[in-house]
Amino acid sequence: MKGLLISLLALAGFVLTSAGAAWCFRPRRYLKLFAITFLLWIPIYFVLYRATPPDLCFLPSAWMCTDQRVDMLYGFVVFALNWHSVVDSFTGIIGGFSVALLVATRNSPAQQTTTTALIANFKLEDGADRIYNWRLPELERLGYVVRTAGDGTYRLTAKGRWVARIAWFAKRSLNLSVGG
Amino acid sequence: MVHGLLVAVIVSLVWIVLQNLVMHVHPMENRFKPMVLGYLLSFPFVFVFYRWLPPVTNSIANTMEHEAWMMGLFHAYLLHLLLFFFYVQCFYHVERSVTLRILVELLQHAGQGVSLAGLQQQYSLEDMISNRLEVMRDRGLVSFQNGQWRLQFNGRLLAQVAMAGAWLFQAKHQHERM
Repeated sequence: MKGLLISLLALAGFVLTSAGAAWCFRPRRYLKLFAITFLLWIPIYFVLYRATPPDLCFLPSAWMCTDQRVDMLYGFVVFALNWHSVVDSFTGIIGGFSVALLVATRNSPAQQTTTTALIANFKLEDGADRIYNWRLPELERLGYVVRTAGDGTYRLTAKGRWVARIAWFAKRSLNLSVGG
Repeated sequence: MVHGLLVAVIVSLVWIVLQNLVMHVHPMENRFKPMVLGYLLSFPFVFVFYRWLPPVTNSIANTMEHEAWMMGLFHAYLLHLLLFFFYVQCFYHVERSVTLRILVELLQHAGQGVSLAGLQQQYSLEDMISNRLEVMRDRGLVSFQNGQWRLQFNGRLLAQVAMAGAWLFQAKHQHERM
């Protein structure tokens, strides 16, 4: 039980630290920010666990795990799973494509809009779309794709091919269509 | 507690594998419902396994004598729930990610490169938006009347949560990037 309680404390600390860092640094890549703050909170979790009494001064003995190492590891696994939930909620809700459509509709006059107007929200002034024109340079910058200088076509790098194969295999295993 | 944690992992693995096997035999477009159903159906098995499955080792059996029985069950159900969340999150990473879709498209044309126009032809912005709107209409997040999309209660709530989250983390939504 102690591991669980400390993991919840560490999660709260992680969320507050991430939000504070986001206000200070306005990061371009949030996943990097979340990874760094998580790495910062991992040792804090273990130090907190080691530094506090086994019963946290209020836990009944029957609620305590007999093996403290197991309890500490369990708390860390809960912390990691909850961290993943927070990051996933961020990417799915705040950074998600579907939710962006809901937000665009919410911000439209009278909170209603047409498909054409929604599509226009994702177009830049020169007619290019934000989805490909944001993602492809990002994928190129991170080394997943490379743009051929001559014809301007995109190809996967070895790193991109590795990720694409895993994604393809996962989609096949789950019996999914191309998705996206 | 260790017994409860092992039970949670075993039950979770079994229902996730079974649910995926069923989806191979009877594929469904909306996977969320079968996932929730699988989770709920597995719920009583956590108790059954925890109560009647013998501990894997003697040392685990010994530790159980010193710990509250209900506490072990509580941790089993908590881990079972967290593993369900983790599975659902991983599933949607794979199913919905536009970035992974782009990478898979490029993989399927590994021999030759694909131009931006080629990628857009395979999966255009218009198709993406139309597909998503249709899915959200099916899920009751938006409605479509007289050529206009309107938010339903859940859709409005989700949009407000997203806006609050974007403020908290000073982030931009996808239509505000660049």
